[in-house]
Amino acid sequence: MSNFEFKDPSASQEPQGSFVSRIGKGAVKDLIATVLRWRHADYRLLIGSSVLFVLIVFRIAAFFIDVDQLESYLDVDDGGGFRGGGAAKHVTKYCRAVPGLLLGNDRNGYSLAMTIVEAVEAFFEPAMLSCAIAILAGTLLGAVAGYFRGGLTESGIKLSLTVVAAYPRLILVIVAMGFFVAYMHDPGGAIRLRLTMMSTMLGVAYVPVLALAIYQKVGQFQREQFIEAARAHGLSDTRILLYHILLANCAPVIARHFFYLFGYFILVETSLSYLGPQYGVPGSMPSWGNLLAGCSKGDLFSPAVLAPAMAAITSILGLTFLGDAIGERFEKGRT
Amino acid sequence: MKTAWLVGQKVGHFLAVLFLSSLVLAGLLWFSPGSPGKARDPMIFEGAIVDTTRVCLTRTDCGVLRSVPMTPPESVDVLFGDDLRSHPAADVVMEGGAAIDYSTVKLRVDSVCVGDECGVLTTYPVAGPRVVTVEIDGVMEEGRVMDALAPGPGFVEWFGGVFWRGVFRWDIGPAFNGEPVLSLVMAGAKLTLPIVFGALLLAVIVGLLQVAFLTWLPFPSMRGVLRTVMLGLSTAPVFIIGYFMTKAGILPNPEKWWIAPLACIAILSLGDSNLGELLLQMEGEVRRLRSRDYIHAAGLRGASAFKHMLPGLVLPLSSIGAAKIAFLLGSVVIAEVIYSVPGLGELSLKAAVKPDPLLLVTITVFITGVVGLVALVRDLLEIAIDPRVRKAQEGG
Repeated sequence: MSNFEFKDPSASQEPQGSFVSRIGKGAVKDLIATVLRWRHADYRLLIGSSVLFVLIVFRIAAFFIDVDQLESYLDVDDGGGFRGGGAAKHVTKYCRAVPGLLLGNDRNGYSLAMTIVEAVEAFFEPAMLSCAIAILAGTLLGAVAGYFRGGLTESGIKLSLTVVAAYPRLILVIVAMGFFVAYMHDPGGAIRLRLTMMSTMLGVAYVPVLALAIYQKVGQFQREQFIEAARAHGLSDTRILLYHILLANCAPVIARHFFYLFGYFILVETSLSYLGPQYGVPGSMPSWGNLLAGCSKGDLFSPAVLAPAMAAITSILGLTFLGDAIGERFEKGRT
Repeated sequence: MKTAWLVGQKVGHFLAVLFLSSLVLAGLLWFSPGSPGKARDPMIFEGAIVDTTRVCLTRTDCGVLRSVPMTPPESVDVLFGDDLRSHPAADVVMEGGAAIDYSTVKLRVDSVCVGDECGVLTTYPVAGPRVVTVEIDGVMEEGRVMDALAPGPGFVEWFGGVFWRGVFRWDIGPAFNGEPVLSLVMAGAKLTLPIVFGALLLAVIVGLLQVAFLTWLPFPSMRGVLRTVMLGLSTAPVFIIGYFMTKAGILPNPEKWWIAPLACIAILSLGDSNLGELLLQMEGEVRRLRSRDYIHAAGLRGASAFKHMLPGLVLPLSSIGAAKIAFLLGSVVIAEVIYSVPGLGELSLKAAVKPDPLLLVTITVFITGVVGLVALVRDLLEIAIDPRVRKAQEGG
């Protein structure tokens, strides 16, 4: 029997080197090639990257959309029967199908498709802020606790993370709103503060999750030969920790948790917005949650109900898949 | 003895986390606009000592009382029976002849006399508002006596003396609706905790059944598809599942009170990825256990692998459950509002909107305590079941 073993060149693209260095050596190209090579592609990567792409496109499109400037297709009863509020030829009620409008109209009579696109504004930037807080604090605390083990630093950080982890995340958001937002008399300021509080609290509440993952990774890498070699070369602890461990080897962990938290933020924002304008985003700002709540008396299978619900479910599922796929693909063989 | 020390460590850790979490929460509250440390009650100057007593001119500007200049009163209105007359303030004395202290005298209550005729005061002296001088951060500031506020308690005084002492005495104070805070929290907990633990139990049972089905499934390629479908279903937010359930006719019914809690249990166990995450974690544990030699050996002897795996699953399941409780206690807020269950979740939202910071702090500390208690039970279970934990302690 021959020792020759056939290898499919298209299937043996296991990346070598660090995550960061691969970016320069065609990691993006590799990622796109993997996505396009559908037979070999991870379906989670395919779905997740598609969802992320659509969300980014929606966010860019939302810069140019202002639903208040759009034509309203709401009924107006002026005593002579119903007629279209914005366009008399489109006589319809709200949350219904309208000829010429994709998905019909929303609770205010505006195009539902446009409103769904604009609703991305309600969570996109706040979710990014939340992720930034979680990544900065979580990475720093996890790395320090993992690298300087066995001392007061590790014990202190672990105890503080345990304390934060004891709060349910949603409860922490509600607490912050009760402590700070409820006293705001300026409605515009209250909206901004509420979204900022939501971002900050979810970011802080997620810190223990990310810090624990980084803590474990750093602990594993400390015993690796390349770290001992770096120490032998006289590199400082800061350089070893920041570059050789965090930047070169923990980036996939951070990326995975970034997408998890992004998805979780959408879940919290849409949930609170569904409950009412005093909890989530105000009625004047579209959100998938308040779009569903606004049309909640409509037909169960009408686009006005299904579209925002599916948008929320697909986004959360896609981002979770993307996080899983990135974790499995890039963290493989790194422990 | 070593085991008792181990148990003591775990209990101490639980108490430390509970105390620290309440401390962090109180610290957060202290810097909020609704801080209990801010002045809110009117200042009573009776017994106030110049250069010692602290007085606030606004809710946040407090300092040491430097002087209470009494502007000489010019005239006051006195009601003699049905006859209202104005008199020079100097002519009016308290019944019995003592001089009137205008900072304490009660209008239309305390009897005053002008000569032999006695009646009640209807107005304070009309000479204008009396002025109080307070030194705030080294600067002398003047304010009206009627606007002066009594300073709130200090952080340690409030946190230790009002909050925790109140908890042990079972009296923290009234909530926004006038009812005692602790009674409200306990009434809410009676509804919320069964929902949360019921949802966890249901999710674990359904997850185990799914794992058993996936393990039994003779087509490996189907497992991935089924797992993805279940994950997809489970990713739906609680509010969307709740919405579809209400649309399907599962509505709260005053005559059938159990429908709403059961519906909450159902949507909580399925939604917010709860079931999906449990399924993945339990499948991983089962796969890990199945690869162990003693399970293989049991299988070769013809014994039930499930029966041998069950004891090994208790600890991982309790760990998964303990980690999930905090998440479920957050998600229950949404479920309770949708089904109008007056539990802790709905109460916390009301407290946030009113706002009632004291109620909010009490609810959060209670929930944190529940989360910590579940983790403690899990740790104690580990000590009881796993001999390696005890051996590790004995080994130093």
